[in-house]
Amino acid sequence: MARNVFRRLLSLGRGREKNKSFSTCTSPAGTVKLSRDLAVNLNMIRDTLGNSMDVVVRELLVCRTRVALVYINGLINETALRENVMRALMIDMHNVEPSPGSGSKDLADSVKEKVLSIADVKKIGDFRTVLDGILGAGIVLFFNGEDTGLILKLPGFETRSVEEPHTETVVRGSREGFVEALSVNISMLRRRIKSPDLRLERMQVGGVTQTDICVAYIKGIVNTKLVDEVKKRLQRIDIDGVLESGYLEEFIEDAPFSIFQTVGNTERPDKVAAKLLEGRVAIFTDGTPIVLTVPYLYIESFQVSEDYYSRYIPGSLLRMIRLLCVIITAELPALYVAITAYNPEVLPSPLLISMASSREGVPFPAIGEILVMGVFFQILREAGVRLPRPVGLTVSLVGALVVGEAVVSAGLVSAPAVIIIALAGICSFVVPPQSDTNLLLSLFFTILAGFAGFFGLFLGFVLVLAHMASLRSFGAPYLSPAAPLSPGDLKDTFIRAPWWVMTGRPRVTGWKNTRRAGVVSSPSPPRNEEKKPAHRYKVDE
Amino acid sequence: MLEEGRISNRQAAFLVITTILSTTSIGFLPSMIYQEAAQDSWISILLLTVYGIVVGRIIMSLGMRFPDKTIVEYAEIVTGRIPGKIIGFLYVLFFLYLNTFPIRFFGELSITFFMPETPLVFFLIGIIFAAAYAVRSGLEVIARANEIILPVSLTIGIILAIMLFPQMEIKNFIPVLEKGILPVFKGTYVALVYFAETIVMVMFIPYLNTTRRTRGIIFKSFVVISLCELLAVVSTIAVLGELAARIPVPAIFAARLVSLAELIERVEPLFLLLWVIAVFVKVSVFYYCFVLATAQWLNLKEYKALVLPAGVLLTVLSVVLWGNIADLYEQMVKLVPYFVFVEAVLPLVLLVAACLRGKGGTAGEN
Repeated sequence: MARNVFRRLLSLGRGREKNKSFSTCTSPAGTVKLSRDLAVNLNMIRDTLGNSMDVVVRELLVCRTRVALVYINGLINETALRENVMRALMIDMHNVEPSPGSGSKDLADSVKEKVLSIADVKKIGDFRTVLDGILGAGIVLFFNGEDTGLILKLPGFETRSVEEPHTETVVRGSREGFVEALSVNISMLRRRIKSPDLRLERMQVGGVTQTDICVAYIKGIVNTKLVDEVKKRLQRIDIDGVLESGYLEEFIEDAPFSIFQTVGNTERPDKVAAKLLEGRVAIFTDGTPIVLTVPYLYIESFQVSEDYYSRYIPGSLLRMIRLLCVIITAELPALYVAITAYNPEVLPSPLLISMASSREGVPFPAIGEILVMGVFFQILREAGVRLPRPVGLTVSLVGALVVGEAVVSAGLVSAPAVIIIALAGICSFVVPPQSDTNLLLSLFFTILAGFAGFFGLFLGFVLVLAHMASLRSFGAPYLSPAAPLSPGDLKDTFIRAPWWVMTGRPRVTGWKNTRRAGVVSSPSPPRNEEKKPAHRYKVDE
Repeated sequence: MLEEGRISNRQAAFLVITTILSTTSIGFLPSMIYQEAAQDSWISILLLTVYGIVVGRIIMSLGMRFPDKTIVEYAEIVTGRIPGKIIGFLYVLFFLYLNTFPIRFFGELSITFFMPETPLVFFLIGIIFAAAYAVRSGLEVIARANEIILPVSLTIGIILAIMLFPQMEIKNFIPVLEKGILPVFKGTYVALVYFAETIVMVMFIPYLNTTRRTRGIIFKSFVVISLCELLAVVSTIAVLGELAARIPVPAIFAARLVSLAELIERVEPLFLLLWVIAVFVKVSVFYYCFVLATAQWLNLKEYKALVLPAGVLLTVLSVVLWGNIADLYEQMVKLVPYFVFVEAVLPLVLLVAACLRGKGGTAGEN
């Protein structure tokens, strides 16, 4: 009910232009054919692109035919243009026989087949493709007297080089992170999965920005219905621009009103490859290193790629530490409030006395302390994130002094409250995908605990649990494999079982092709007498 | 169909287990059994388990004859329109009325042990609101939430029992059958209602995603229920002895005695957690059954509109039906025959009638 009201409020502003799509190309429509007259074509280009300073039109004479090159400065590879196009057209062209056998063939064909030493060359006939080609880092060749042109793909714009991902660093594992260029990102994925079944489907979203996106999955592992659903949701997007995958995320997620994210994101190619092998679908967006993966389950936020690379025992231990940290972040402040305000008797007496003495003289109730300190911590964090490094240091120094020392010694906030907020704050960074969610949960629980002590806290816990149980991400229940329980998949939740035990794909995404490893492949030293290793010491008599 | 979601056999079994355990092992029931059977309560539990399995089998046999209908729907098929409607209405009332007991008891307990100055209705609204949210989200959501809640509750329960180990004394159990077998039967009698709460299955069977091996869940659930029940009752008697009969919730009292290494003391919040999450499931299950049964009885197309009014009704009834907790206990014992009629006798009658009149199939027989 509240949801409906909210929806209605949100949609107040939009009613009027409901049916107006955001494809705002003011230029001639897609069906316009190229003219045989070069001048007409060039005029059309100039009309459409306006007098933009970066549009280059170069006219030249090839075999007594006027030819024009159109491209956008800065998008294409200038060296290749010089060496492989201009040089070829102006010098090498004269060595080419005018192809006597096939007289019907026009100049565009012979240029394409004999002159240009470029791989990606296509013949085009309509104006829309010409525009897309020019804007998509291509060079378009027009020939006077022919109604077809050539499009040469020669992208050569500046991109960031492949670096270590900033958000997901690992000690052991690949140091590669995605970059902004779609083609580079896809190549990184291809390098990891050399299977012919890896499918990469290109789509375009954004009426104005025409952003390329790519839906990646492994045929034979993925559930085809999932792929269809992803594509359907992506096709439904009607917006002027998509500048980051976050735009897509908000359009395709299942629970837009929930604080829990139901679409995963990562900048690690190895992680994307692992997700695809589990039967998930990845969505690459041009212009951002963040790749989306669906379906996304709650447990995935605890899974770090390094868990799978380091040995499984410490890996499992770290999983549990992360779980503990989530509990601490979300519930420790609330527990503090519930205990100090309502049920102090649950603490052992010595601890109770020391806590009571440190709260002596503090003018605020426990919930006030926690909320003020919590907000203060968040302000410090935000200031530290956005500021340039040198200033950030000052902020953290001042913050540490003020928060850690002055507030306590002035008697405004008790020391336990500072400790608890600090601990909860640190713990919120342990599971980065959830840090914002957990903060909100923490606030929710704290307020409930302030109102109704343990009862409020536990009631909040039940409500959040019921909410999480009601979520789905692309058909997958959000809490699986715990609820609905599938015992086999618990191997990769609170613990990370060794690889030779995890022989099946997670059932919720990989049920189509469940087997992923040989059943009995656990490592064991050879036991038979015959197979005694050669290096075993021989004791001489 | 009114309910789109489907649950698995395991989820159904989990729901039955939590529903029964939440009041029987940690709620008011142990003390009622102690009052009658004293140190022989554990024998009562064994008898009750047998009773629970028998009634469960009857209910399942009845339900499996109509694997795509709830009792409100097939009562009309078995007995004809008017009697069927009456029987359906009985179940609607039953699901509503039985639910008020744990709700009210939950409120009373929270006041007594945790927040003495808070008004009763605050707790009632709290738990009913949480349950209403779950009911509105559907059967699947209750079942999934319960799949987290049940293991957590069992773990907490076992941890509590282990922590109480130093305080246990085996001599609290002797002499066995001091006053003969009669007190044991009396102890069994007061708890009959709660061990037949398998009756909720009559509303769940059409929403199971399979009919294979569905009957087996009764036995499996009762093994778990019986073990947990014994654990709860045995450890409470071992710790408290005769005191167990005089306090409303012996388990909480026992929890207060926990003291380990001067570090872990007074673990009642743990008990409250157990209590909130378990009662939440129980209340949601009956709430859901009530709302669904009402919608089917009135031939509505959707049950969600009923959730809010039903919540208000539950709150009001839980407040006005009883003056205090003693009143609640008295009523509970007085009403046992009526509840047993609805839970055990009526399904048996319906089953026999369905067999004689040849209504319903025998799908999923195994």
